[in-house]
This record gives sequence, structure tokens and C-alpha cells, in this order.
Amino acid sequence: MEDEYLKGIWNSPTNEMETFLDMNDQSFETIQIKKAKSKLRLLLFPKTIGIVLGLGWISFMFMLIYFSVLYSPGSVGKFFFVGSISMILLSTGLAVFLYIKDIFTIKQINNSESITITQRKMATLQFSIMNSVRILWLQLPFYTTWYLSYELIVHGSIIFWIVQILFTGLTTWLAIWLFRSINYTNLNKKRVRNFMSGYGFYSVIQAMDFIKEIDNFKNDR
Amino acid sequence: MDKQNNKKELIKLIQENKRIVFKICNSYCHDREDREDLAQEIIYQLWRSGKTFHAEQKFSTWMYRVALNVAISFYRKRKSANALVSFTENLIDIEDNEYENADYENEYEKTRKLLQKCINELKELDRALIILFLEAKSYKEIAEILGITETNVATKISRIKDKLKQKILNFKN
Repeated sequence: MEDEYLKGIWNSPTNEMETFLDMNDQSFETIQIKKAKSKLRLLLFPKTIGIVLGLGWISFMFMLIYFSVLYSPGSVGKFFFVGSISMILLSTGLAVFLYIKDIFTIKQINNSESITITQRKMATLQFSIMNSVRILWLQLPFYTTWYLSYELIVHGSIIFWIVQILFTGLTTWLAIWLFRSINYTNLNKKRVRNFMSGYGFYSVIQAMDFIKEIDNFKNDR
Repeated sequence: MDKQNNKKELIKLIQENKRIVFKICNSYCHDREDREDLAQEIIYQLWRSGKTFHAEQKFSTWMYRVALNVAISFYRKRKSANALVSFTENLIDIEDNEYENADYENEYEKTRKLLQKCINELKELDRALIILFLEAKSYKEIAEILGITETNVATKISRIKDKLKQKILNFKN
């Protein structure tokens, strides 16, 4: 079977092709309006919601720190409260920053660049949600320390301390494990893949697989 | 040139090259509704990317880049949405039936459908590569559109082409 035969078959006209895309000015306008609306909804809306919620949460944290410092100056318990809230605030702030960065990247994607470059950017963008989630997980242990007060530290029972250390230790281990495991190089590990698909991050796995596929494609492997 | 003239010019160019859009939509979507949706998406993105087209460029090369990029992204989005249902399995089932039901069609038409089916089974990037090859693009142009080296293009084309020919011969026998 010769190349020319294949090309001939491929280029032979079909009935469907003749009636496909018969376009005039009006249909062009309709497509523009329809697609502009759907683009806005699909890409920017969820990110914008994430940013608004994140900023709301940050403002709330700031308010807590402000009132804590204002109404209980010099208290020992305040150290844990302000410290924990500050760490939660920091990780939320970083996640919001990454979301804002994503919005700028979405706007900069250029479909007329070469296919491997554009597709790699798109897949990386899909993976970037994972970076925000990894950072958000880091705040997990601080939800087990913000309530520690002077009274609890000095007069806390043995059972309290066993439970406290167990929970803080477990959440710290989990946060660090998640932060370190969920990345490009660890995706081949079965437990990481299972964990991610179990929590609905299947599209992220697909994006990372595609990045690998693009790299192999470029390097002829 | 004003916006209105630009629009008219783009519509004219798209009409002249609508075969490209048709071939790409056919290779990345298997049902009619998706094909129409993808075609609209490609046209919208061509319009949006209009400012990146320069007169010294070949229109079809630029159009292939935009159309293939949009098609691959569209296909991947659909694939993600249908993650629980094996898309490839569905595709093969439906098109197998289409192939079998085409008894009344001539050999040439059957082979055309078979070729399309085999292309639709390739990975996204291999699919783009073989479309460009069948569209008689030079290795240099294919390398430019895909962002890989010419040597890489030659190696891959020879590999995929052999696979395609084998599949077609197997089906025919």
C-alpha cells in the first residue's frame, strides 16, 4: 500500500464535508457570543469563586488575629492561637496567589504556538490546581493547636496530652506526606495514583500523564 | 484594515480552508454534536488568535496550529469528563458497526472509513502528526507545527504509517 494511495483516500471528498461549516456573518457572530460566554464561565468563574472565598477566609483570619491581640495582650495561650491562625493564613494566602497566577496564565495561552508547547502549558495549568491543594494541606496540623491555652498546657490531663499529641502528630505526618508525595516525579507510584483518583483528582493524573507523553513525543521515545 | 473587514477576510479564509477544520473535527470527535461544537470552538479560537497571524506566514500552517491545539484540548476535556466510561472502547464499538454496515459501499469508501477509524485510535499527538502527513505537509512544516525536530518527524511518521497500513491490511483480510 503506497503513501500516495493513503493520501488519496484521506483527501477524497465526502458529502458531509460539502455541507460542513457553511458560514455567514450572522452565524459567525452567534458563535462568537456563545463561545465568549462559555469560555468565561468554564475557565474564569471557578477560579474567581476560589479567589473570592480565599480572600474572605483570609480577612476573617486577619480579624481574629487583630481582636486577639487587641483584647488579650500578653497572654500565653495567645501564642498558640495567633501562631496557628497565622500559619493557616499564610498557606491560604499562597494558594490564593497561585490561583491568581493561574488566571494570568490562562489569559496568556496562545493556541498559535507549536502544539507541544501549548499542550504542555495547558496540562501544567491543569496540574497547578494540585500545587494549591498541596499548600492548603500544610495548614492541617494548625487546626489541632489553635485552641491551646495556658490552662490546658499547665493543667491538662495525661489523656488530653496523649490525644493532643496523637492528633497533631498524625495531621503533621499526613500534611508533610501529601505535600511531598503529590508531585510530577511521584506519579508513577501506585499509592499516590490511588490516593489522587480516590479523591477526585483523576484529571490531574491525566494531565501529568500527558506531560510525560509530550516529553516522550519530543524526545522520540 | 478595520474590524469588519478583518472578520470578512477571516470568514473567507475559513471557508476556503474548511476542509482542514472538517478533517480535524472528524479525527478528534466521534459524534456529530461534538464535531459541531469543536468546529465552533476552532472558529472562535481562530478569531481570538487572529492577531498572532502575520502576513509572511502561511495561513494553513497557522490554522493547523490553532485548530490542532484546540482539538487536542477539547478531546482531552471530553476524555476527562468521560473518565469512567472507556472512550476508546466506545469509539471502536460504534465505528466497527459503521464499518460492518458499509457493505453496500464501494471498496474505496470502506477503506476511507477504515483509515479514519485507525487514525482515531492513535494517541492525540500521533494523530496530529499523521493528519499533517496525509495533508501532504512537508517534514519541515510538520516539525514547525508540532514543535519537534524534522528527524523526529521522519522516524515517527514511518513508524505510525507502517502501523496504519498493517491495520488496514488486517481488516481487509
